Amino acid sequence: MNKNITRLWFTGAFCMMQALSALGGTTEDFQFFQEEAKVVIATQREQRAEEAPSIVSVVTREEIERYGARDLSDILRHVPGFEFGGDVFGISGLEFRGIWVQEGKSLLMINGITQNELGYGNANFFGTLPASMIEKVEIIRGPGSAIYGGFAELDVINVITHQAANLNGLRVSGDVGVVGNGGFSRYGNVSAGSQTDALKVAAHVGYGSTVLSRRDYADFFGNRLELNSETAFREWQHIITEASAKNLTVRYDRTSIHWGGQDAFAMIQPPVNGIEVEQLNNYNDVTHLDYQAKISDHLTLQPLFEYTRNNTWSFDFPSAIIGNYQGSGVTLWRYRGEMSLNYDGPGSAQIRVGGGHLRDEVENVGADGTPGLQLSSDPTDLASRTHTSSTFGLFQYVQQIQAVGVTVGGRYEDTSFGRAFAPRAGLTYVHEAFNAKLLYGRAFRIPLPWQAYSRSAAFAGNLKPETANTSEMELGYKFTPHTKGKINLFFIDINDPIVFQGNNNVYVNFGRIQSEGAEAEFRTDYVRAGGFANVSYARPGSATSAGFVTPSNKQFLASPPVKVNVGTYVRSGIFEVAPSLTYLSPRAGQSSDSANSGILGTTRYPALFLANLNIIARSVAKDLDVHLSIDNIFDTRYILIQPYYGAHAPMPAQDRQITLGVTWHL
Amino acid sequence: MARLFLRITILSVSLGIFLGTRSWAEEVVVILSSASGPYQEAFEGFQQGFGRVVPSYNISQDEPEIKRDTKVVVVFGAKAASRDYPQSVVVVYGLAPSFKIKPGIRFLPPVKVHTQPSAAAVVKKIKEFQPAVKHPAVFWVSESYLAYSQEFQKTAQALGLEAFTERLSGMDRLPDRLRSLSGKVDAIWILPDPLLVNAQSFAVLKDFSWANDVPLYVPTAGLAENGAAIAVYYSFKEIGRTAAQAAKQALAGPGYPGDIFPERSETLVNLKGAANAGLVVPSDALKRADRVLP
Repeated sequence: MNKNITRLWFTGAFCMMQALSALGGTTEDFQFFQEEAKVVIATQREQRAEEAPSIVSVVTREEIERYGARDLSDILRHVPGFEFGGDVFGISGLEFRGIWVQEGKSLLMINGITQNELGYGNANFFGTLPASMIEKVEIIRGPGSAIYGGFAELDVINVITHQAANLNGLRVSGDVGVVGNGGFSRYGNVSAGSQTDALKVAAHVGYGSTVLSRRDYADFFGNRLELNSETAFREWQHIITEASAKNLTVRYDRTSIHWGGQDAFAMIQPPVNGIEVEQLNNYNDVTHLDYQAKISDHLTLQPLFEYTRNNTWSFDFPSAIIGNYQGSGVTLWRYRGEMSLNYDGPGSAQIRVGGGHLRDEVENVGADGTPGLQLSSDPTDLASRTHTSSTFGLFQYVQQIQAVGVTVGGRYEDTSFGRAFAPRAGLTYVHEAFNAKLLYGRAFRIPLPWQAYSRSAAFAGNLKPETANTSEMELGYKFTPHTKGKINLFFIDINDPIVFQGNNNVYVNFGRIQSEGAEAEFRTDYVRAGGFANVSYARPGSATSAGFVTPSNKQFLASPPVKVNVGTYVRSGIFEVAPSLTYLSPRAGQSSDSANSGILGTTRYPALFLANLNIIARSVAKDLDVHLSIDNIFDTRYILIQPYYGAHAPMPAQDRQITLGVTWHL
Repeated sequence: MARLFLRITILSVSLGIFLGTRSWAEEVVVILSSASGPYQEAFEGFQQGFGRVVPSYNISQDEPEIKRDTKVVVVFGAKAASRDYPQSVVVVYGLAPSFKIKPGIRFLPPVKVHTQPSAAAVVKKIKEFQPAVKHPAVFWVSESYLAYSQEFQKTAQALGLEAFTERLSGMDRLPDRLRSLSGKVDAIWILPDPLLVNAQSFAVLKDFSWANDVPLYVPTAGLAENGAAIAVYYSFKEIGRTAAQAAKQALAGPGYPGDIFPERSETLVNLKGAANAGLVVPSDALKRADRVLP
């Protein structure tokens, strides 16, 4: 008996020791990794989002697929601070923190290549930049002029396409959808890529079309138009290529949009001989070369050259409306050469110095054959071709000292329109789960030669760069490895913004725009479920000029003061179900009375909810994913409001859409 | 007289041996990043391999003293490896996964003792224990593992496997990526990447592994003991022994290798972890394992 008890005891003790040693071993192993991680984090060169000297958002491929984004606009709607407004010629533009960022205040890139058209600096959303080609979107919610120059005044959006290493083969995707009452949407993309030690190549080819809405549009002047595939179509095409070998990267991109406008500046245009003549197109052709020359372990020299050709917003039928000088006779070019030196200093310091030259050329011949450019205030000083240029230098110093990061930098640009300087400074602090940022940046927007000299508007050769000062603060906390939250405050002050005065048909530096507010985000991710929520609040500062806000100065035109996004997902087996909801607080737009009388006045548009549902089935067959999504489930009557007093009635958009899509990975 | 002469001889020889030993020992110094178990085990292995007592320091407690005649500094852990050392010494460093001393910084090239078996060795082990494997996956966060992942892919391809390798932007991306790979991978090799491996991420990986029948292959015995299927690893002592050999080679003069993989890797099979992940280990592979946990 005693022997048995003794044996039992030893067995028990042995098991206990094994268990404890196992536990101890595991605990020690994790402790070892934890200690090593501290050093790696302190010494690695790449910054994490918490350490970046900007308010950043990264939307990954998983999130894009999860919530069934159709294009970049769906992606941006889920990001704090962004919404959309409507403008002339049927353009859907971007608002950020309440401010209308069309015309060069928001930099849009694909793989680091500028996509803003070169006439006004605009980008057109809804039905463009389809999600099927996008791997992730990196967004700087704040000024980026110190690095990126002219268009990066308030934010920077970089769309990254599927990378060669992730593709390693072929990815084919297609979506078909029903939009509203009988509208039709279809998008297809083929991405191919391969990466070896010696060579990396990737290519993306795609086409798509949709309709902005199937509802009726009524202008402020008693005219009515049915929106359909002839009056409100959106067509998109892209060819995006990249090849890298031996530190040399070559890219060629061609993107093009073709769409139907409705009412020129404000009034619905009747068809001419049965043809809806307000059809516009824009293409963007870019060839880009850059080289990473490793001078030493610490020093890298990067020259780059980029050639862009595009055509601003051009009318297919220019003589029919106002597009005499905005048709096929328009070509714009940008030549960009830049050299930067990057130095990895001792103790995780990073220094970057660089400089370069930009040349913007414009050729404009009217549809009637007359020169399309006026080069001075003398109306006889006409030409078909001209150019502007700018020379710039930039500097950035980043130093990480244990938990604290310091960034100082700036960009100085000497342009044909005057000089501009954009300094920036940032302080970041990361300690375990907590992070904080204090940021200041000055940014600018340089006028474009088209705005100054095109005869589609009055001569504006004395335009000056507009400047914006942005101050931001962020606090973030990782509650658990799966759950984190952050909140940030901002204040933006734009001086002498470049605005179009419709009464005088001219671009001028005029007024002031201030925006202040807060954004908060929360997200949680587990293997089988998770979600996110974010809130954005923006209101005009007290010095904001009247042309951008309600008469009470309490809110910006077109932009909702409050936006709330909530999304969640649940995974079971091969299925993932992800509902999401967006709340837009009441918006304001110019009233019909105001449009007809010229006296400033607004209409209040009620708050609305946009509810979506996306269901993905992964690997239903070998390498095949299928998704079904319903956007705007309750067919809320969403409208695009013009964010200034331009007499443009709100445009219906984003009807309920049911989409079926497949993605095949080869 | 003879007795006196003998005593003096013995004394001299002893003194000579003592001084010689001390001189040899001060030519080599060992520095540990901390007093925790893995670093201590590595140091014990070093002592066994080197065959002599050498001065050692734990930088979390004392400041190392590098004398003028020190020729080799052996460091365990990235904290110790990232310090500045005189340019006249050769730095041999181990137990610093994902950390690399840039070659140009030191006049005498450093020697890295790798913490995990080569990618080729790991792929072969996975194939040995899981003959039906087709799509092994590797995740990492630290930039320094890119070359390893490419080697992994190359070896996998040569064996007729289709490897999936991806660098994550952070550990918090892991659940998303695992979700999207369900049904597409059938084995996961966890690199000893400090930016990826911690208790929480391991729990996520284990959960995924057990729910989706995707066996986990891990680089330390402790992780296998905690539920992964199989560990393919160098023991901390083996890393220390290898560092000792590297130190001897560095003392012998130039021409020593800059990267060393320890000679002897070990495998530990956790039968319960394997079963939970749907893996039936072939009996001949099981027999070759160094340790088997029931």
